[in-house]
Amino acid sequence: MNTSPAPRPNAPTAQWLSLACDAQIDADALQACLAGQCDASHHNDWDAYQLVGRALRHELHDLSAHDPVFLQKLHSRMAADAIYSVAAHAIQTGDSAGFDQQNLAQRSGPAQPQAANDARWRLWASALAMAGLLIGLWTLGGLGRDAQPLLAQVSPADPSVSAPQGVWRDAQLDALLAAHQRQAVAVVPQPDGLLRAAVLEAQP
Amino acid sequence: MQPLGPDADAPIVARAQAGELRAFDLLVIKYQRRVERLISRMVRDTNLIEEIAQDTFLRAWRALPQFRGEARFYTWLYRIAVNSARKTLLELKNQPSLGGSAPNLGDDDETFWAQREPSTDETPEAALAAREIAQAVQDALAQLPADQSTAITLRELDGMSYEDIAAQMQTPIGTVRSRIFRAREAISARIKPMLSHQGGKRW
Repeated sequence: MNTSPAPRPNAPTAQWLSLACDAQIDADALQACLAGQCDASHHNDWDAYQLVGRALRHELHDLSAHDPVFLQKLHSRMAADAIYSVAAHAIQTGDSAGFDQQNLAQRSGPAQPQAANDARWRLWASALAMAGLLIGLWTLGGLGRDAQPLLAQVSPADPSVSAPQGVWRDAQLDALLAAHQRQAVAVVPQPDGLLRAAVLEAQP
Repeated sequence: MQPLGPDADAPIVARAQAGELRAFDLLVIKYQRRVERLISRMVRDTNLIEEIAQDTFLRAWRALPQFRGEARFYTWLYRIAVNSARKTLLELKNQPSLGGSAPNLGDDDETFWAQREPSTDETPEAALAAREIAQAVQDALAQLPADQSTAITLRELDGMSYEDIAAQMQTPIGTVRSRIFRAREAISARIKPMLSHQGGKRW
């Protein structure tokens, strides 16, 4: 006896879903299938196909239909999550104009790793790295050429504090260092007020 | 137990990874009850079970770009579900059933727990409904034409590929596709009225 059901209006999509149950459909064909009408009736078809398989395999503990309300709630949470993601991105980049529906739609997909996969970020990072390298080379080369005249202008306050060649020194700091070496106490602020009195009284 | 082989979810997961929400919906529909049943082994509060299941799928959606397909999709989802349940229980400081029977992620396979899941957690109504559905499926299978019955059995029970079924039945692969689809349609037509009356949850 042939119990095959009569063809239904949505049979082509159902047939695609049957193939999808068994991974007999590639991603592009599945996309074409999903791009068409894939509504609640197809969800029921898909669910029933899965259930038939489990029943035939005697997986009795999994023989219950999906809950459409669960899916609706999940969609709500995913939408809220996408809004949060877009808002966070807008705050982070200061791009309030980017917080629009189009941006939201683009970001409602699975979250992509932000920096790692963004070609623009990689481009900027490369440019910055190159600029940093050039500045570093210029600085080193410039110091090598021009260090002597600059160092000649700086006269340390104390001959004992001499600047090594090629090291940039600050004259004021050198003077303070020299004074400290002569009499460290002289440059250390003395206690005053109550603390000073206590210190003086404690001294023999 | 479903025979091991290439992950049947791979094409759907690929579309979901590309941001196709309708593809992800198919995965949610397929695994919703299974994930809820898994969580129900750790959590008794039915509201909390649904919330953790929601968290599981939300986290899976966020993390899909990082899924490399090295494990089966459900194995990956299983880990997310267990971690979500653990995290929730830790937050609540209420671990009534974790104790020493917490799932060991080191075993790296969802079958580790699936084989130990007690069937006594099912409500009598749920168990009865499951038996009725299973019986209806067997009845529908018995009424199918032999070519359809053979094709669907080789596929679902023996886990054979369409190519192998075509070779076994000495028929073109397109015919195998058609037979399996028709068999599924015929059987599901029998059980859909029962599913529409299914209410409540099974944990």
